[in-house]
Amino acid sequence: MTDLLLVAQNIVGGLGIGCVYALIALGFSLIYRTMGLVNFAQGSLLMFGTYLGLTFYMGLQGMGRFSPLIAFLAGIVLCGTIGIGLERLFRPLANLDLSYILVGTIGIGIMLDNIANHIWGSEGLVVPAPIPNHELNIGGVRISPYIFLVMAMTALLVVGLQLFLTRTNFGRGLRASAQDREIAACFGIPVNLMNAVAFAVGAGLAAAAGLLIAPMVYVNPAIGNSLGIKGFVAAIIGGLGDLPGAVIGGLLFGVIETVISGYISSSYTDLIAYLLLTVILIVRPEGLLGARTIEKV
Amino acid sequence: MTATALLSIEGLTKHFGGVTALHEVSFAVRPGTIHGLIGPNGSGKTTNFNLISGVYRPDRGKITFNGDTISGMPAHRITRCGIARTFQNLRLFKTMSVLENVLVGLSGSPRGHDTIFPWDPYIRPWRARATEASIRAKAMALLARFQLADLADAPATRLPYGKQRRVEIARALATQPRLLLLDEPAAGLNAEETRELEETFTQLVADGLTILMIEHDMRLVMGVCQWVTVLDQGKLIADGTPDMVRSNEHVLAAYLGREED
Amino acid sequence: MSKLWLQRWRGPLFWLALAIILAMLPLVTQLDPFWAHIVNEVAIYVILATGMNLVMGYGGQINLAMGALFGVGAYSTAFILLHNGNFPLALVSSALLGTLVATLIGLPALRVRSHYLALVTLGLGIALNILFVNWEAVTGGAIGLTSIPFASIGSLPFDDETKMSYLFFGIMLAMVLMAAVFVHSRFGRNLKAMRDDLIAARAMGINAAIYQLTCFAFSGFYAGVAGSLYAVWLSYISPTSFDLNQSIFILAQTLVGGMGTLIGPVIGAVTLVGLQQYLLSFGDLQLIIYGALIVVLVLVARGGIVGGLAALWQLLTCRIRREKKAAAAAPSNHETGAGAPATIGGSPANGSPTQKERMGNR
Repeated sequence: MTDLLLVAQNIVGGLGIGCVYALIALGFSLIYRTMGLVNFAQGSLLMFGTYLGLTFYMGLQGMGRFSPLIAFLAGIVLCGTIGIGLERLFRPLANLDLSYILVGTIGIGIMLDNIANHIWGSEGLVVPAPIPNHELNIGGVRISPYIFLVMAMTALLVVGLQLFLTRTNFGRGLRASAQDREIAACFGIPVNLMNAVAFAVGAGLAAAAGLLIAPMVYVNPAIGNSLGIKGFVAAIIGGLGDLPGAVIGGLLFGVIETVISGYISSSYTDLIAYLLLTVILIVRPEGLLGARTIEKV
Repeated sequence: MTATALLSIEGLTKHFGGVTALHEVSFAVRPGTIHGLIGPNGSGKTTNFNLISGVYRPDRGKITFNGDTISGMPAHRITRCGIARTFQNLRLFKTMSVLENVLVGLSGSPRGHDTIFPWDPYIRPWRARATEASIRAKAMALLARFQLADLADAPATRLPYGKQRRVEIARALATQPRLLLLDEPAAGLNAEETRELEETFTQLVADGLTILMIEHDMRLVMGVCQWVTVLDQGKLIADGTPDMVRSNEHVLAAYLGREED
Repeated sequence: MSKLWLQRWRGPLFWLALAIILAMLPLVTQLDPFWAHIVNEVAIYVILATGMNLVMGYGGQINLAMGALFGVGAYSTAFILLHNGNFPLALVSSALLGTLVATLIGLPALRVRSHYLALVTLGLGIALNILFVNWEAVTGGAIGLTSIPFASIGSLPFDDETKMSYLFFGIMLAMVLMAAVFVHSRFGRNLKAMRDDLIAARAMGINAAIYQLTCFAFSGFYAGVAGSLYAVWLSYISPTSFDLNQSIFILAQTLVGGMGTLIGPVIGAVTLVGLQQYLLSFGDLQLIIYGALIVVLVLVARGGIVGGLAALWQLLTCRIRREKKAAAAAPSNHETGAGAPATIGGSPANGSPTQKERMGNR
């Protein structure tokens, strides 16, 4: 009986962290869908945005302490602003050879990593949870209430994004621009602005993901890399560019990872993540939900 | 009638998403003939070629060449079986000279050469040099046949259109095929160039080659083909001698439009 | 444009560079340890960049596992030397093991489109690195391996930087020459064909997948050799030298130098290793500057240094040619073909559609 409870516990925990992966994956897919490039700086943006938010939340670098909500929003908005700047920078890269996109985005990532290091130091932070976090016991399953906050915030963000994309003119413009840049431009849609918004949203989502996970991990300038790649794996699982897929991929990945880590040590779960990526790319690169594209000869 | 067919296509079907490019197309190409494949734009002719040469896999149907089933084989293996092709939009190797393009045709497939990875330059450089020299000689001979010998070192994609077409045909022939698929070989050529092409084809067939040709130039088709297959919107609507096809009412309707248009 | 120029002058350029390198040989023998150290580092990276260039510039694929393969070579040599093996054995083993592992990593090449292949190598490279960190029995775990014996051939020990520089320089030269032979072989030509037009190449009977796999194996060979040298160079290796950042560093060198040329990786390695040395004085900021530089590289100078030089040459000769034409009465441009002045995307005089229009629906 306790085995089942353990699995249930892991599933809930996995969903929690899966929410975080889902947000990162959404960022990847949104940027890829709209701009046609894989943003390998996503992990570093996550880290940077987290630090920005935490500066307000924990009063780092002489900043006063603010409420968690304000700090959260500050982190997202500031990171989104950086995203707008990055879009401008990456514009010429958009449809080039993958090696250029790789080097360019990773270069930015390296810069962000080390600027963060420079500003906030490389020692880690322990981040207190924004709500009282005594472990609950629901039917024998031990859960920390913070996980529910994470899920709630994620749901809010995802629904918000969905509404934005489907109900607002801006969002519709973004979807049009993602489908076909040239035709959208013909209709007077400012494609560059759309790209900037997509990048800003992607960056903001990364910051949100990092801030949400902050109380659960040891925060230091290196967290971006591992989370970034896992978010990427999640995006690929769901099909790169597929937004619902990103969410599903993230949740799935979170659950699988947490359940497996119950049985083997954590560094090996990382190994499994990368092997999983490899297998998916070999067997079904368009992901579980993505669509196959056909080249015309 | 098809007992001695070199290439045999049966029930060939191909979909692209919701679009049916080819539907249950069947015909045969007999050895030693020039066989024309015609039809209005979008009728599936190039798709047919892509299926034969292995660029795509058919959804249904079978393609047999020289008794072997080649449908479903990867493109490079089909070439090694003896089928070569040219492309509608010219696919010469951009960074290479005319000669180099043909050299690739001569050395792409391992027929008569050593394994894929050339160990020779490292362990027996003298042999590698000799092999290269003999390939070059063959390539120059091929170019000479197409009056391209003096352009051997010219960048292939800088030539006038008509000459580029000849380079592509020479390159395809370098693979020593038994069947040559030509996709609009006369497109963009003037009358004299087309006539030269006609002569080349007749010569090639006399040497044992079989040609399957997509063309829009009706004079060329009717003049040089012994057999013509007509496609329209993915379906086969006629299959016979040029005279039979010329007077076929379905063919006329397809080209000239129907009343409902 | 400058690409075509590059193709024609590639040969002479390479021999020129080789001559320069050989002329520097006497200098190498008189190096003091500081410069010898730098030469050794450059030699290792030249080998790595050349290997990367083979798989990327000629094979058309990105091998992000290069850093990890470098590690395979390093750990193999370290293991053998620490267990009383001799260096020649270690070198050969590293090369073979590197080749083997690279082949395994490249096997998905047979099934996967190149865009995704890069990501596969990313994943597998990181997975390998995790292995390095955890397989303590063989790799010493996160701490790594120390006190690796010096290389020695027979009774000749290479126990200081200057002596090592002879060995490293010689091996580097051999690897670069091997690459030259590779590129000018039939295999190299077919690779170029694949790069120019994959579908046409397949139509010529080229089994693209096997070719790509071979390029991968080759890059593993180079990484293995470089790793072997690395192990005996510092006598200490740890997993942090074999991570994704290392692969990116190697990739950056290939891009800086200019992809698809033989001299490019050499220039790239010299440039970035030199840069790294120079940036050491900046302490904290060095990585920020490095990051900024590679971003600039990618945005501004995509052909790398070699591409830039080629473009410069083109610019100068075009200007000279244009002036010559203006001086003499220019013959009309109806005669196209060999010997006609190059025009960008020029239309043939007989009025047929231009290259761009014809290639339009590809």
